[in-house]
Amino acid sequence: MNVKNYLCCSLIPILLAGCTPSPKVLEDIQLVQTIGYDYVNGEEFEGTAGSSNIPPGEQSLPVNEVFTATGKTSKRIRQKIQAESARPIVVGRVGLVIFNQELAENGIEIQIDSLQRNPSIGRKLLLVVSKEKAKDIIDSNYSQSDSVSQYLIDVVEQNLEQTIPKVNLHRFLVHYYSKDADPFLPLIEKQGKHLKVSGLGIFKDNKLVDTISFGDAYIFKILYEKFRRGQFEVELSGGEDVSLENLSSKPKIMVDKRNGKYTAAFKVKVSGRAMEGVDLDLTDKKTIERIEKAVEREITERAEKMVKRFQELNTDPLRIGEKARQRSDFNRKEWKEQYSQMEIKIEADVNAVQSGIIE
Amino acid sequence: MFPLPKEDKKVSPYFVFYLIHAMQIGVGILGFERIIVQTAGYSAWIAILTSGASIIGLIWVSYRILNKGNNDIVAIHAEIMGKWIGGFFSFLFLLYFFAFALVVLRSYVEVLQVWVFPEVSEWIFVLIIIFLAYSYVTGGFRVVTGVSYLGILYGLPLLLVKFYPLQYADYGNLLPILNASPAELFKASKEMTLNFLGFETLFMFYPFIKDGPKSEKWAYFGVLFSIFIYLLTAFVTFVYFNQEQLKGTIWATLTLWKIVDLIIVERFEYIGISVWFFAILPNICIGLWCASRGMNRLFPVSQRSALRIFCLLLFFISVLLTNRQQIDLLQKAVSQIGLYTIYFYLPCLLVLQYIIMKVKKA
Repeated sequence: MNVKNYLCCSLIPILLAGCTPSPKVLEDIQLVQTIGYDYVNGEEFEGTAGSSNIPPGEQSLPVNEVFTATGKTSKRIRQKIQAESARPIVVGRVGLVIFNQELAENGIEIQIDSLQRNPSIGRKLLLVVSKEKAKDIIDSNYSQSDSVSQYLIDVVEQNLEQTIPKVNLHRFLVHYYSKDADPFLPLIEKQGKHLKVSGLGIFKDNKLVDTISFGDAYIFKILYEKFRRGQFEVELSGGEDVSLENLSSKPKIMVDKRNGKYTAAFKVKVSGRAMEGVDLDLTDKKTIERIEKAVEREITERAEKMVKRFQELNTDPLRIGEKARQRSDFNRKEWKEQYSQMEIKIEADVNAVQSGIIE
Repeated sequence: MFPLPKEDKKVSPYFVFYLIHAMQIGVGILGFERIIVQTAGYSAWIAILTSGASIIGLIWVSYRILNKGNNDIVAIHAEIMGKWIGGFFSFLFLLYFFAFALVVLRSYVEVLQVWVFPEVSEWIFVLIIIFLAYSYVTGGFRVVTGVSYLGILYGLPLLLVKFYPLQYADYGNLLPILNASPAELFKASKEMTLNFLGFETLFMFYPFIKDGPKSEKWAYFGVLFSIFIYLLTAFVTFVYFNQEQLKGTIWATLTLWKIVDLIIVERFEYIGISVWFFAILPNICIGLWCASRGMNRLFPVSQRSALRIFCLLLFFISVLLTNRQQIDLLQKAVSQIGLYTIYFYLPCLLVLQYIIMKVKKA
C-alpha cells in the first residue's frame, strides 16, 4: 500500500467518527415500561406511560414515574409526554400495554396500528384489558417492593403460564388479522393493594364485546391450547370437593361439512392426579371413575355454555373458523352465515390417577 | 483478442457453489414471503420449487453456452455477433450487473435506516459500504470469492434463530395444501424468480474457474441450497404469521426476529441486520467486479479505473434515490430486465451460438 492509500484509509474512519448516532446512556433516558390507554371521547384518547427511576445512592428503591397526556394519535400523545419529561422517552422496553375496558369497547385499532408499526416495539409485549382506568392502575402503589411496572408485568406473565391462555402482541395480531378468528385479551382489575387477573376480554374484530370470568378463562385455555401443570377443582355428586393437580390438556378441533352444513367438535384430552379428597378413598377405582365423570361433565357443560355465548355474539376467539378454512371445500360466506347457528359439540376425555403420599 | 486470465488468478471449481449461492441470497430474502403470498396465498411455497427448478434448467443452458465459448460473455458475444453488436449487448450486461449491485446496496441501506438508525442519513452508510466493497474488489477475483465464502459462513447461524418463531407455529396455516390456481402459481413463480437472480454473473467469472466445465455440478448445488434456504424461510414465516397479517408485513423475516428472546439482547433485529451485512456484501462485490471487468474487456481502460468510476456512480445514484417509491421502481426495473434476460435472451443466445458455430465450421 502506498502512502496516499494509507492516508486515505486512516482518514475515512476519523471523518466518519463524527457521524455516529448519539449514544443512549441508560441513566439519561426515560425507559417506558408500561403504557395505558383510556377512553376520553370518540376522537381522543388518553395515554399514560409508566416508568421507574432509580435515584442515585446504593440502596435506593426505584421511584415510580407516570406521565399522562390526551390526543388523537399515539404519536401526538408521545410528543406531549415528552414535553413533561426531563429526559428523552424511549419505548424499546415496553412490556405491558393496558387498554381500559371502555376504550376497548369502542375499538383499539389506532393503538394497535401504532404498536405494530413501530420498529422498536417487540412482539412479546403483553396486552391486557382493565376494568378500571388504565391510569389508575399504573399510577398507584402496590404492596410489592419492585417497581410498579415490573410488578404488573409479573402478575400478568405468571397467569399466562398457569391460568389463562397465552397471548402476547404477536398472538393477538394473528387473531386480529385472521379473517376466520377474533382476538381475546386477559382482563385485569385492581383489588386493594394487589392487581389480579380476572378473566378474559373477548373481541369482535377490534372491539371488545364480552368478558368472561376467571373460571371460564380456564375452560377457554383447555379448549384453546395444549398445556401442562394446570389445576382443576370440581364438586362431586355427593358434595365432596376434589381437585385435579398437575393437569395436562390437549385440545383438538374438528370441523365437518356435510351437504353444505358445517358442524364442529372439540375433543379435549385431560389427564391429572386426583388430590385433596378429604372423605374419599382415592385408591378405589370407582371413586376415580366418579371423579373423571364429574370433571368431564363440568368441562363439557361450562364449555358448551361459553361457546354458545360466543356464537350468539358472532365472535370466534377459539379460532374454529381457522380450522374450517383448512378444509379444501371451505367457503367463507357460507361459514359466516352458519357460524352463529351451527352445532358445536364438546367432548372431554378425562383420565385421573390417584396420588398423594397417604393412602 | 480476449485473453483468458492467468492460472494463478483462478479459483477451484467448487467455489462456484459459494459464488452462485451468495449472489442468490441477498436483500430479497428479508421480505420475499409477502410478495409471493400476495399472489398465491400460502400455497406459494410451491412457487419456490417451480421457479427454483426453472433456474436449474437455466444454469444448464448457461453452461452449454459457456463450455462451448470457453470464455466470458464479452468474448462469446464478439464471436457470435461481431465487435459492434456483440459489444453493445455486452455493455448492456455489465450495466445490468452494476444496477444489481446498486439495488442491493440501496435496499440494504433502506433497511438499516428504517430499523436501526433512523437518525443517520443514508450517504454515510453508502460511503462506508462502497469503501469496503472497493477495497475487496481491488484485491481481484480470488478475494471476491473469499468474501462470498465468508458471507455465507457468517449468515448461516441466523438460521438457528428460526427456532424462536417456531414456538408460536401454527402448522394448520399451510392447509389446504393446494389452494391456488395454476395461473396464480405461475405468477408467484415469476415473482419468486427475482430472488434467484444473480447467477448470471457466472457469464463474467466463468474464465476464472479452473477447469470450468467441472464446476457445473457445484453451480447446481448452489442453486439447490438457495432453494432449501428459501423454502425453510418461507415455511417458518408461513406457520408463524396469519396470511392476512403477512400480506401487510414488508420485511417478514425481520419482523420474525422480533419474537427472539435472548437474555442479553432485547431486540435481536439489530444483531440480525448487522450480521446480514456479510450476506449482502458479496452481492455488491461480485456485481461491481463483473461490471468493472466487463469495462476492461470492452474498452481500453484498466479494471481499477473502471471500478473507481462505478463506485462513484454507485455513490451518487444511491444518494439520489431518497424515498421508498424510487427504490421500489428501481428494484422492479432491474428484476424485470433480469427476468427477460434469463428466460428469453439466454435460450436465444444458445440457439444463435449453435447455428453460427455450425455455419463458421462449414
